[in-house]
Amino acid sequence: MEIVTTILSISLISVALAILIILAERLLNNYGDCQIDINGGARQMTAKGGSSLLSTLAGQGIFVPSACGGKATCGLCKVQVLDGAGPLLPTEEPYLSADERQKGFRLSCQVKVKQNIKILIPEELFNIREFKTRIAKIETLTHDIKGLRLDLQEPDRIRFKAGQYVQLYTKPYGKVRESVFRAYSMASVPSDDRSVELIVRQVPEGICTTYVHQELKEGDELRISGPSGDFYLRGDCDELVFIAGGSGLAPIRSLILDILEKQLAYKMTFFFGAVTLRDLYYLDFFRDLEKQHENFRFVPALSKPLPDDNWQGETGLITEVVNRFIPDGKNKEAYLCGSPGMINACLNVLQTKGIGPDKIFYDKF
Amino acid sequence: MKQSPEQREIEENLGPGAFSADGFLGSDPRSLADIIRDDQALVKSLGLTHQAIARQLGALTRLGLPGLGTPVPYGDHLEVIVMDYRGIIPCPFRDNVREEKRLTVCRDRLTGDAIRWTDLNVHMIAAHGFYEGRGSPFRVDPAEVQAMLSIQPDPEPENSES
Amino acid sequence: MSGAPPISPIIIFFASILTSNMILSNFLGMCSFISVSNEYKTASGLGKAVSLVMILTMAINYAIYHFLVLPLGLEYIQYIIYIIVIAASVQVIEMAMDRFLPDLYLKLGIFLPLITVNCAILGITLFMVIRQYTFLQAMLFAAGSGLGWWLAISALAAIREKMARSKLPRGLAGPGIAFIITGLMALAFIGFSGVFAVQ
Repeated sequence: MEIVTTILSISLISVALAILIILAERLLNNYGDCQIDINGGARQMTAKGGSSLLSTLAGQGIFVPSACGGKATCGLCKVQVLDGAGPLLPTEEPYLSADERQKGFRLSCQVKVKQNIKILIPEELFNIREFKTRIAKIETLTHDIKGLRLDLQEPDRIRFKAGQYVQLYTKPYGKVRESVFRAYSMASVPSDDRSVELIVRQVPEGICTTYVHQELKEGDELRISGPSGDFYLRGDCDELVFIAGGSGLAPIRSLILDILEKQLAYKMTFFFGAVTLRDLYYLDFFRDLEKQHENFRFVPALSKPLPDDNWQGETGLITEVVNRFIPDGKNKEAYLCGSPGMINACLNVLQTKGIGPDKIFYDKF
Repeated sequence: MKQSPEQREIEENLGPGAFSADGFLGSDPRSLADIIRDDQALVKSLGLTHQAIARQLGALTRLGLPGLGTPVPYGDHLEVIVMDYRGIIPCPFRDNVREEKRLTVCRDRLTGDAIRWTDLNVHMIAAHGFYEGRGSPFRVDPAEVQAMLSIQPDPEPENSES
Repeated sequence: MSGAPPISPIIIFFASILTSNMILSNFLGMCSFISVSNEYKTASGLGKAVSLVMILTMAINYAIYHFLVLPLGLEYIQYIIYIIVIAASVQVIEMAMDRFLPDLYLKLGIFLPLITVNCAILGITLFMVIRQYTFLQAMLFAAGSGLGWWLAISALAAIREKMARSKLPRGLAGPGIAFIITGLMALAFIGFSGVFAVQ
């Protein structure tokens, strides 16, 4: 008899408490509908509260840049919140300077939408859309670089400036349980607006690049969002210097083709550097362009060619080659894309030639 | 021992698919605390400190940087090659440190042996005494490093307990 | 274990803060007391959370004791029942904190769910059973104990913050000096003994 009362009473109490917790959760974690006021009333939307500002905005079609999927490790998702964000969280502190905090900047991946909220975001963000695409072609360009051609399905057209990038979303695969996204510059030209071409280099142990190199097949569906980025042509000069290494060729190709298509009168020199021949690609493509266009010069360079490479082109570090070819900084703008080491080295060379930092452009990621 | 959510998150971050495709623990069955403790003992037995090893590896990376991917000679028979990639990787230990994706390879021209490390390895060694688990593609083994580089131990610190 | 002690609830309230302080006289609830007392703001926040849990659980446990345990003769499993109630209350308080005080919620981290095993909370329920308090006495006892716990941890945190720059022998840093300070505070609080009686 005692056993029955024991079991009954403990069960009853546990059930009663479980109901209490469920009710509390309904009450406390249910934030209802919240009004999001963007740019002083320019846009207004209503969304269900309870998620982060980043995902709430994404759910409404506004894509705030982010590279870490909301883990508070990249600091890219800063949004100015005028009202309704709650107190600053310890996870946000390392990414916000005192000045930013004063102006109300917050990490949108950490701010939870619990009430009506007023925010300010840059206009460019409204142009970013999510695209459903199908992989039309995967091309092996070198031992660690692949080229992708994606046909846009929905929406089926993209508007962008040559040099911008898109975010590519992976699906869970192998040991990777979550979807991640990384930025890749578009190699295709803006007039080719129904497709997007990307160049992806395998990073050792990279989650996204491993996905692209090992998992994707032609015909697969792929989600991307964009366009983003401030790497595009300014053109306030007569001559353009392009320097690329590895997968950095992508936005440069887009820029060069766009300029040639629009028949703009710039004199262009494109330096494409690598260590040995096996790391170069699209050589014939650019050599042909050089033959067809007087104002375009292509300078591929190898820093340590192997004897088997039979290399007839320029040799030396890319900085040395640039040094040889560029006499001075008069009326020039430079566009760089590649690894941080290459970019830093080239920045030094270009500045010694007299090209000011305001005339040198590169993506900082 | 009960783990705080922070420690659990760190162990998850170190697993495969979180911050790197194969993770930082490899096929090592030991817990993170044990891996760190065992490597600490190994480093001590070699007469070194985490700081000394991290400092030497960092110095070699700086030496190889101007090479932009071409080998830079070091000492009699070693050469250093530094390759870097776009992007940054945050430290899985949630200490708000981010490192560039840079890989340094130090090769012995005579024997063909090579050791390699990333900028993130150097930070994790210096700040957390973490050399990655056995079987991890980027484990930096203190014994192998010492065999190739013969790092000099730091001098004894001035202020010891009286 | 006869009837309720003939002490005014108000006296019990003050006694549980001063003469019978949970930490300093009874040494209950030590682990989070020592661990979270580094920063004053966090410590104070935890103190308030603990007080809330104490009051909430005391009310529920009093009802359970008088309407379930006694009538049905469930004394042999009453400890389990009280712990289940405490665990549920802590869950609810955690949710409330996440909603209304998210920065404190993040700062406390694991110490919020650890309130469940804070022996001070089970302790006050058991004191209520042993001393056979009436409802009013029990509630004021809970409020006072909570306040006393909050007072003690805030005092310790304030002292530790002030001591952050002092030169301590290396072995005593952290928990070592915290225990010594707690001991000294307990000694000081002995001065209150005999002023109020709690049972």
